[in-house]
Amino acid sequence: MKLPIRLLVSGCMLVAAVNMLGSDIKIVANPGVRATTLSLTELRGVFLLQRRTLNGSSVEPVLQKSGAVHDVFLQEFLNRSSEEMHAYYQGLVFTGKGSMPEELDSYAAVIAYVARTKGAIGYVSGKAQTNGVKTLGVVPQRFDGSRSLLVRIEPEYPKELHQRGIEGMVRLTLTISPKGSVQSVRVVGGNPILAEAAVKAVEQWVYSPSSTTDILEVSIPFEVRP
Amino acid sequence: MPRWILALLWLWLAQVGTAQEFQVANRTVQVHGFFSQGFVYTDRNNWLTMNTSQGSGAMTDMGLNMSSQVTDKFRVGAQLYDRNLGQLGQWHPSLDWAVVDYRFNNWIGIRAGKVKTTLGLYNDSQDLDFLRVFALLPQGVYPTDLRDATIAHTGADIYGNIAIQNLGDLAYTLYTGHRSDSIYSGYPTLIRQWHVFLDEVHGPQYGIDLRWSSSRGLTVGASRMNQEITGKGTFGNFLNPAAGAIPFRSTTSAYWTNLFYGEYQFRRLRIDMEYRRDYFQIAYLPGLDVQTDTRAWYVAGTYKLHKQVSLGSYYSHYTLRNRIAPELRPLVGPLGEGDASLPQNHIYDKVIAGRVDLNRFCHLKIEGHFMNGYGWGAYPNGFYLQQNPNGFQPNTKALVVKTGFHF
Repeated sequence: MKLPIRLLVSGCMLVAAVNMLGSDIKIVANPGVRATTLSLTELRGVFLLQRRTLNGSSVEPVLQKSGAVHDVFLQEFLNRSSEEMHAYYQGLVFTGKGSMPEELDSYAAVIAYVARTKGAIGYVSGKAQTNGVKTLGVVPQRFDGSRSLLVRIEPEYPKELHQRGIEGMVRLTLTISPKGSVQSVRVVGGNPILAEAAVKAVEQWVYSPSSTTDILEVSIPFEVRP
Repeated sequence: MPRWILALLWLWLAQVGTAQEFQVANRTVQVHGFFSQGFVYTDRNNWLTMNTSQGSGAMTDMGLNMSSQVTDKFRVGAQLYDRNLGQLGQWHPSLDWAVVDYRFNNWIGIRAGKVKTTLGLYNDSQDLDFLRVFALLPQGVYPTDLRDATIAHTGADIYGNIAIQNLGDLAYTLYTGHRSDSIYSGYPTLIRQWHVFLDEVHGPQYGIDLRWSSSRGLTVGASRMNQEITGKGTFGNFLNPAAGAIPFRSTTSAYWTNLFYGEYQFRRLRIDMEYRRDYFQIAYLPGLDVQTDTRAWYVAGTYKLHKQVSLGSYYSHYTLRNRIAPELRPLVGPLGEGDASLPQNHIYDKVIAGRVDLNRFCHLKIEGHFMNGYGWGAYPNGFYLQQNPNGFQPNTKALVVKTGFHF
């Protein structure tokens, strides 16, 4: 496949995945979790009970029992149906190699559990209220198989929006040069003022070098911490 | 155990209908269990130590476990297991696993106690019928009568996961421990046909498993296990019964297992394949060796037609090659020697299966086996002279119906 076509295809796949995440599903975490983003591999590792820490802090997954958001999350990010995911956990439980994660009935129950449980990470509808928890952005690290994020600058929260308690998620498409610098940034979605702050930060990010120019999409959450 | 007690137990579990939890010292203890009951009918040879040619329901197993995540890194748990499969198990419950598990970080943890052995895709979960479409796993690679040989070890595992960015995850397990077979398991049952009555089968084992999983449903891996197993008991002096039994003790001089495997899942389709080779050498009488070399592979596919209905099929290919000390041949016969294409030296099994999930906790399976060969040798693989005193037929068709419940 020629390079432009490959970039287009890979970029479209990523945009599709992250758009779904950004608009319909939020990844929520206990405020004590020492991360603002996680990669798709990390997200998968947490929910398959293979990854028990994130940036040095312990994590535990929280699932919903059923529902459309639950089904989409499992299929898109873990490549499993709800029944297969349940069977996977049972395989660990009945062989003594894991415990069944918490499964809850509603978004509100997930938010409440995540808010009070150290290290808890769950997923809820993009429209759900997320008081008392933090929203994690998903960074598709090393999307082309050779990239890793070497320098990450966190965006400055615009003072006025912070004082007014305005939160949001900004989605950006980055073009990464072969040397690893961010060549261009395009805003895909989010509050324009937050997006401006996010762009300023992301333009300073540095990725590992690669032989190709790559397109990545990242989600940057802005949250007012209590 | 009387059947009516089992039926009551099953009904009670069906009423419970969900996993139970309770609190001890502010820690949640989870309780989970399973129960399964099967029926097997074969048209010719008796199979799996049951009188299946007349239809047999002597196929029951169950387990009950408790576990608790004591801290974010420390977990404890244990499971009791019991089964009755023809002459195997015979309702003698056992401690299936009992572990303390400390996970230092993502890439290293230690699990100690009686630990389920990671070997291939399904060794540690082979009893967990409710996890899969098939009522019986491919018997060439996972012979249910050899369960005790590989199911668990008393010792310790070092394990971990190494994320390779978006290239997936590499999982490893290193283990060492001690195996101890029930006298109601496959080996003691098998060698009773040669008048050896074992009271103990045990010995050290150690091994490694490495598997890589992509983020898109592909898993490939390899396992290796080494063992040194000793059997102790008596040898019935059938040439001169009045002289009484002779003490018997023998230790394998070589015993290893290799497994290579792959699994791919794409939406409703799942494909598995595994290759297993077992080799062991043992002197049944001083200086008189039997070398057994079994090779097996299978390809299996399952498809979820509907949320509650799945279909599956597999082909299992098992061959046996023995080398027997010439002095032993008059006692044991042409045991697994010669051409692997002979029915006594192989089992080729074509299987079709269907599963219906009655609800989240109960299922029903029906499965047809079309077997060629009976692979009768110094290795438990389903066909025993005790249940087939008039010898074996080359082909066997089997119908397996199984239902189960878990919570």
